[in-house]
Amino acid sequence: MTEPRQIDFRQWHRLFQQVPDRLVEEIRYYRHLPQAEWSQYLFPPSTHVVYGNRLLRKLKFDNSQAALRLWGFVMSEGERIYRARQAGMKVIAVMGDLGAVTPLVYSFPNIVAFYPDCLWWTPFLMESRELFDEAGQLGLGEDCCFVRASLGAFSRKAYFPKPDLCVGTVGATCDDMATVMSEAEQLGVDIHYFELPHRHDGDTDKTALSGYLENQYQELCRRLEQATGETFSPDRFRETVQKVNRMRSLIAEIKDLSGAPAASPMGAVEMMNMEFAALSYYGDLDECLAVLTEFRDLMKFRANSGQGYQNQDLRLVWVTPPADPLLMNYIEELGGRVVGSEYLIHQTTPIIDTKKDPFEALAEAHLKATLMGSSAYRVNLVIEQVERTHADGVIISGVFGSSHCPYETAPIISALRQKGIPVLSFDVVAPGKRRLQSQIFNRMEAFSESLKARKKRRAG
Amino acid sequence: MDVITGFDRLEKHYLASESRPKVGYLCLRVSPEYIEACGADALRIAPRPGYDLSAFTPIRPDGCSFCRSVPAILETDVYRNLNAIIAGTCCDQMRRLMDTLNDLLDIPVILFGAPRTWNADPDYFRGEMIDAFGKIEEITGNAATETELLERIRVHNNLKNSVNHLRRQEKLPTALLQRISCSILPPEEILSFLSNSRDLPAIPAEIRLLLAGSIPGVWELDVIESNGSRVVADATCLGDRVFHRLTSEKGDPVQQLYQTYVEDNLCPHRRPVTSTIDYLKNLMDERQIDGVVYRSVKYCHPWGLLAERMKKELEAPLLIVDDDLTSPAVENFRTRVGAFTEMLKMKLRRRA
Repeated sequence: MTEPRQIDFRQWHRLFQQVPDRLVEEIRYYRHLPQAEWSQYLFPPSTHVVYGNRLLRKLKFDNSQAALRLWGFVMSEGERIYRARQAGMKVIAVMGDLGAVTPLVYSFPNIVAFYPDCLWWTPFLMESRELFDEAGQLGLGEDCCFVRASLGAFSRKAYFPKPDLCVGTVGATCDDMATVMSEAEQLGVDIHYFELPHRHDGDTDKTALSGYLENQYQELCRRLEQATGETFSPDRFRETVQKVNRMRSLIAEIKDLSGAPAASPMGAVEMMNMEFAALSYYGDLDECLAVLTEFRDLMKFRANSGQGYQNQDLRLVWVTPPADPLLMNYIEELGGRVVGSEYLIHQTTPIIDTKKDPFEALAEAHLKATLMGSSAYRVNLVIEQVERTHADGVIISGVFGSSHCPYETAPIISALRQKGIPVLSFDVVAPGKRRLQSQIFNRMEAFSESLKARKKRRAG
Repeated sequence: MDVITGFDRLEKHYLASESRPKVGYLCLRVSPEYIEACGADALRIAPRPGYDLSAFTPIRPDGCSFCRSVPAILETDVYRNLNAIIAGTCCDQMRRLMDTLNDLLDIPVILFGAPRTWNADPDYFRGEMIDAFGKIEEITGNAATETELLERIRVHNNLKNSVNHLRRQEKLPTALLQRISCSILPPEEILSFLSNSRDLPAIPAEIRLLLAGSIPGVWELDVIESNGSRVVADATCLGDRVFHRLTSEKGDPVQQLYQTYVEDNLCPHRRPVTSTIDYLKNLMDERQIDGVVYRSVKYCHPWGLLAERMKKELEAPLLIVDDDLTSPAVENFRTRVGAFTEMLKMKLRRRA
């Protein structure tokens, strides 16, 4: 195996010559469909640049085949959803819950789910404000979170096929996506609303809340039955949930491995892509499992053999996923490594109980959701990550104008400072705002310098 | 003495003499009837003259400017000595504001879950509401009996009827309407005040406006009405919307209050938002509106992000303005509203 390092897209282009053709042909999605060339996805990043993802020219990628496979799998998701539609599969758009309801969706046969919410990073990847501008035309301007890009995508009708059903979670979750839903309705999109009640952390009657969510899941199940023409099968559900649980375990294991003591075994962007697989499995649950298994094996090998990137010694926890992945590369260049994260997707972490009634089990897992409860709950999730990973510092990449960042940021910072953990907080800036971007880079530099000085002082 | 000054004096006098516990509440999902039946005075938390615009707030500047102002609003005289604060979950920011208040204040801050969607399972959410008011009962030491609840519903219905009647006759100015909606005065006192003020003449209005949007501050209405126009319909959080829904006096009073304040709540944070839009359309027809001033506070998601849709749906001349309650741009607002009113006047003249 080659020495782990981060390389750019040109270097990957050259390195890709060494990948055997046989492997390129073997690695494909939708394996239940007859083998076709279109289902292959192991390509160098330069291929995805050709499709408009210009930011890839600036990013650094891990030089392993496992990471390349993950990148290929992530970047082919949009195309895959169209292929699913062509192959007669039902396409379900899921919004606002970030990974909680997809186990139920995937327990129906011949179905695929995707999150329009995740298009929030498309303007960054494409270095284009097109989707933001489109959303702006429809009333969602810069005072709305980057998820407004998904409204632009609904309007442009060119980023995903028209869904057979849209499931929108509203209530105790972010309001920005609720606004996108409302505007999407105006564009003629029919939405099945899933009500997520507030969780009182501490004194909630969890039984009543869980019971309420069970009913919501049952109702959703009926809508899925209507949309697919299939009857819900508890056996099929268990089979799906077993796979989902395997994926969640894999993700937890990989997250643990990323904190390996010797050196950083993987890049932060790859880790984020890996973690976000738990949302909709990038449109192919079985293949996603295979991708993550290979990724885990590589991480295990690197962690056990002490291999990793050189000169990345500052252990950091990243809070709130950055829509602009370049920021992660930047902190890595400054000597940082991301060993823990709180990406608002805690609802995708619990192992779902397969022995319980399906709806009860889903409701129980959903109760762990990040945004459903108080800010204190999220503060605790961050503290837990910091303590578990022995982090040197925390980076919070907020989203300007979102419904939760303005409220959570202060308590998170305050709790971390009380524990003596240095923290850097900034808002990610939209593509094209170079001066603002440079300010963030300056602050990151200062933060990493101060962390290094602190480490030196502590080491005597 | 004008009617507003008279009302303010009455409220001031009541505040000086009141001895009951005082419970502050946020938004229209809380029933003041229920608070009163628990033996407390209900006081809506809303911008009041004199709150400190530059007060420290732990909420970032891109948070809703009303939510950011609430800690400073609570420092004003009216809100001194609150015994508790209660709110239902409406928009995400309001939900999180309660977290912030919980950290900042030494009094109980009580939040109950309320549905975002229509016709959501009432058993669960009614339970949430009852639990929350149970905490108010503990604070006041006074359980809300069915008789007391029914009595408070009856009195509030009388007030609502009276307000609606006067508004239709255009004898109740919007400035007074907004005062009434956040007043600590018991409805009986307000009713008595209104009946003594019945000799008010109908307010002439050259331009008839609907004011829609987030909770108003303390100066916007004056600015709007200083241009020869009148706000004859107010769909803000302190306007006609507060009084439009009567509570049924039959059956279980708790269920009826739940229906009025939680289930039938007409705020644009509800999904789908069509019922709120329909309400606005009806109000516009009923009050024969010439134009709409759609004013949202900065970073108010439910109203602010819905502005463009409203423009399309309401099919009337509509001015969209946003306003930062922590940094008011009064002259900018005056210029824009002035230009809008001029445009409407010219339009009316052309038609004539």
